[in-house]
Amino acid sequence: MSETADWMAAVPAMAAAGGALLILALDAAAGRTRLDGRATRRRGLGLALCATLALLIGVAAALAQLASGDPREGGLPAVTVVIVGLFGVLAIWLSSTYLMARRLRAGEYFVLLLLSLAGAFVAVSADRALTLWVGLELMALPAHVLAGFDRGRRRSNEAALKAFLLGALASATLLFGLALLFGATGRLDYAGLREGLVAGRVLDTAGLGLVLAGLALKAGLAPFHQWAPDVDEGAPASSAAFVSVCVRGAALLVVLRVVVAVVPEGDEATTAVFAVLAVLGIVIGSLMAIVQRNVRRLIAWAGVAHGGTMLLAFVCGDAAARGAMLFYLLAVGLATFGAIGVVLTLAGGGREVERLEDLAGIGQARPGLAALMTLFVLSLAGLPVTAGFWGKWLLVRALVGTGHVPLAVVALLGSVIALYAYMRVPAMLYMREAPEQDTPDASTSELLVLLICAGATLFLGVMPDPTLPVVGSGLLELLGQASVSPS
Amino acid sequence: MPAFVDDHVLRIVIGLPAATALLLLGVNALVVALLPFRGLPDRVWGAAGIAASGLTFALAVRSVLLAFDPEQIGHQLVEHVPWIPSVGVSWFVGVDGISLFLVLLTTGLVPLTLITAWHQIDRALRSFVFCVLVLETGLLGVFLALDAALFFVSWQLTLLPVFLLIGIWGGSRRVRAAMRFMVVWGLSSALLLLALLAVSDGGGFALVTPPGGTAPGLLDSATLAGGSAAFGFVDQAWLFVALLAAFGLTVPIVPLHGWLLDAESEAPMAAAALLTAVGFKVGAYGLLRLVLPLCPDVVDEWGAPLLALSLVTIVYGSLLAAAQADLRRLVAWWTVAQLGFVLLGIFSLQVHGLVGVVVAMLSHGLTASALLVLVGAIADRRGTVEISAFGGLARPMPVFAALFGLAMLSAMGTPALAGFVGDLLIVLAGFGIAASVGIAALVGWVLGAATLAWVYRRVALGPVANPENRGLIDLGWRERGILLALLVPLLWIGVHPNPVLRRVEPSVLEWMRLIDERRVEVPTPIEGAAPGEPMRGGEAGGRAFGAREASAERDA
Repeated sequence: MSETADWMAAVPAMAAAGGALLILALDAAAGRTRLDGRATRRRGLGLALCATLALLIGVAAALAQLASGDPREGGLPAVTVVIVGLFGVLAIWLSSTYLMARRLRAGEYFVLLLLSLAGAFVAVSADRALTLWVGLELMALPAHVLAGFDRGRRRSNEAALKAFLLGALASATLLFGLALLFGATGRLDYAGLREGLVAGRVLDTAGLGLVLAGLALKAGLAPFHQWAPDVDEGAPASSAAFVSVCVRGAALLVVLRVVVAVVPEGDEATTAVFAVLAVLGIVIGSLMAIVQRNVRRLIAWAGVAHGGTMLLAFVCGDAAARGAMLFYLLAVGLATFGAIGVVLTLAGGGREVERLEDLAGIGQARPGLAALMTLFVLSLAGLPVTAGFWGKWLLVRALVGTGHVPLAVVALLGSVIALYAYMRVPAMLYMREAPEQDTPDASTSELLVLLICAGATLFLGVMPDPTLPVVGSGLLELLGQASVSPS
Repeated sequence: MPAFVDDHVLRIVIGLPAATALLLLGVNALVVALLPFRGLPDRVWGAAGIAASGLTFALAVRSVLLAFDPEQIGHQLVEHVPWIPSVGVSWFVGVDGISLFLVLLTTGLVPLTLITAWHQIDRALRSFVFCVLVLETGLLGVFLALDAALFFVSWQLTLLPVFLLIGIWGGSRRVRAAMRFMVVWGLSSALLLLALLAVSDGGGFALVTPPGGTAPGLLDSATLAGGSAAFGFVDQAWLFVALLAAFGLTVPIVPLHGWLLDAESEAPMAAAALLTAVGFKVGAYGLLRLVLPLCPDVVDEWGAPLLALSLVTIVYGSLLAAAQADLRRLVAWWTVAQLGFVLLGIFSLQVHGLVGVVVAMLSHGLTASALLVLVGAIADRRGTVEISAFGGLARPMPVFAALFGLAMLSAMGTPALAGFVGDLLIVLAGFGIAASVGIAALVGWVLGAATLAWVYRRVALGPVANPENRGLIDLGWRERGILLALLVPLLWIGVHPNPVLRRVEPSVLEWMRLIDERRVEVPTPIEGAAPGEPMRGGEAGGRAFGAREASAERDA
């Protein structure tokens, strides 16, 4: 690997961190003078543009890296940067109006968001365990602050505290596991760890188990998921979207990276652990989603179930399954973003949506938003013609293809249970009368994000093929090679 | 333009309804955005929907029915285009005698549904039109798909429209019925997906060899049965259990029928006809298209319990129909009984039976629609469908009574009406297996007919017991027109079934040949009669069959 290639891998994180510093400076230079509405909006818009630009530079660098053939794990880090970075851009535009409506400071918000993303980029590009840990911390700490960004609201504070405490626990667990692995192998780089690991030795097993538990905590995977619904419910809606899609998504991709890079091929113990975690996630997530009365909690529990479903890809262990998981992540991310975005847009228009009942009558009052919400929920449920459908299809096919039929049955039964939970949303939207008529406005940036999410969901649902070679087969082949011949 | 239409006729027939729905949605969004209106008026939606579905029907008649060559073996008007190559899914559609009449039924019923809805749906007609058009595309996709994945996608495409149709415009317990429908069909879809992915095993999903294609289809003997060891009885049995559960939930087979009653009695009148006539038949179609060719040995081996299940469904449905207090639940239970006949025909695995299935599905669709339009007409006038609220309707509403009588006669399976042809063929197939099967089916038939006759007497004949019924206005011209459109084909098929049979029979023979080819084991006889035997006999006796039918008609 040449030196330029090394630097290229660092560009996304540097761009995000640099953007954060720039925004911090600009925001400070502009001062804290009381501004009228239009000036605030203009300032927010400018800062959002800066943040977007920073992220797009990172994404472009990652794409260049992919084009030049990044050998590390088939370009998984670069693909992750592209996916998470683009979701980050969506998060920025989803939040800008929302923040202003609630008189929250957009500047600080974007700084934290970019820093968190920089951490995600570092974590996923890391080749050694300590870099990974530093990246994860950099990703998590600003995310906790974002969860508590609405300082005036107690629920938001509660969310931040919960996220922080469990995040600290996750870091400690992860660090302890890494320490054990270091003790066992004497190495901290992934390749060294992979070589040094001895199957069945207590120290290695305990270390690996703790590392996976720590990562699962970060990613909100069952049975380490309890914090996720609380944070998603209490945090400001825009932060909830960011944390649930970008942060937890990135954490899940870090799990993928670590598993591909460190865990020996076909290690039965880890496979069994992932099978158990996956089944737990699907069962707990789907069942809990049924009893939720709060929209954001419903989406959060759905996320737990989807996290479990994605873990099934690790059980298959083949490249096709990992490609399916990436596609699934993309689909679920788009749908989650869109669904929280609709809730947030309604809130921006003066209609706070907490409970499912608050959605009643939206079908008549705001038919466009109701249709978008239905589309996102259908994608989460995996019905055609949405991206979620092909995500489910590819994963189940990978499971059946590798002979894991019982797990495929669990995944599909879970999806039926979850279907019931999801369909309560359109049932509310269309089948209940509105308590009172209101026609709030939606801001342009929010609508734009929603339309992008909807367009991508539909496009991937009707024509998944152009995307599949990118996140799918092209990467798959590389992933396959990588797992056969570790760097 | 006509050349383009003729080359891509199935694509246009399938896509036109949904494309219209999306176009209307787009125009609606533009109107909201650019003009000071709250969207297109409902009337525009309704008119556009009727026009588009009418055009679809016209196209289906002109370019599918008239272009259909009864002599040609296999599927016609085939289109095969790669859709998602990396997943192995292609746009592969074609029509044969089995699907032809289901397509005509579907495309014909949708305009009638929308015309009915124009007057019956009092709110959000635009959403109703949208749902019905998307549903039509999904149903046509199911009937015309030759790619299992396309079949599945189309199948799932029907879920949301039906859910919304029941849940938004339904009766008092509509949300519960809609959720119940969704869960049952979701479960069914999950099983179906699992089965399809297990069968395809990395290969494509084409059911038969695509034109010019080298890879054999799922149902071609080369794929699975060729490697008979690889796909032996045990695999077939697993597959069969999954598929039977998937389709049995939706057909539905007793005891899986609870949701259908809810869905049928809660669905809005206007949509109930479409749902009953077509929507709930995709399960039976799936059994015919997928289960029989994929698991022929299991159907042979487990023939006795399967036939028993069908007979139970017939008799149970007929008996329960007698116990119903309202006309909609009566139609629902009669539908269960009719689906029992369809199952019997399918599991009989005989030419008569399968031809009977197609005719029975067609006649049930038309009859159920007619009955529901009639029930809707009196519900409009009286606000109730309780049987006990009526009596002697023949006096204030003579036209209603006459048309209701005709529809009821068709439902009873009276000779000279389409219902008779289908049921007769299926019962004959039952006798072909064993006398006991035929007799049991006959008993169910008679029970059902007696129930319907009894209900007709209570509703239409006798003195006008309830004073509220004295001043009822007879059917209007719109209602008469719709009913004639439904009842004339019933009469025509009943009197002169040959044009239908002539088109269905060769396709059924071809399909049976395909099923036969895929048998791994030698069929074991069920109760003395060899199921394999009448099938091959059927090929030879194929022509005789039409004559036998004609003589049955003469006797009638």
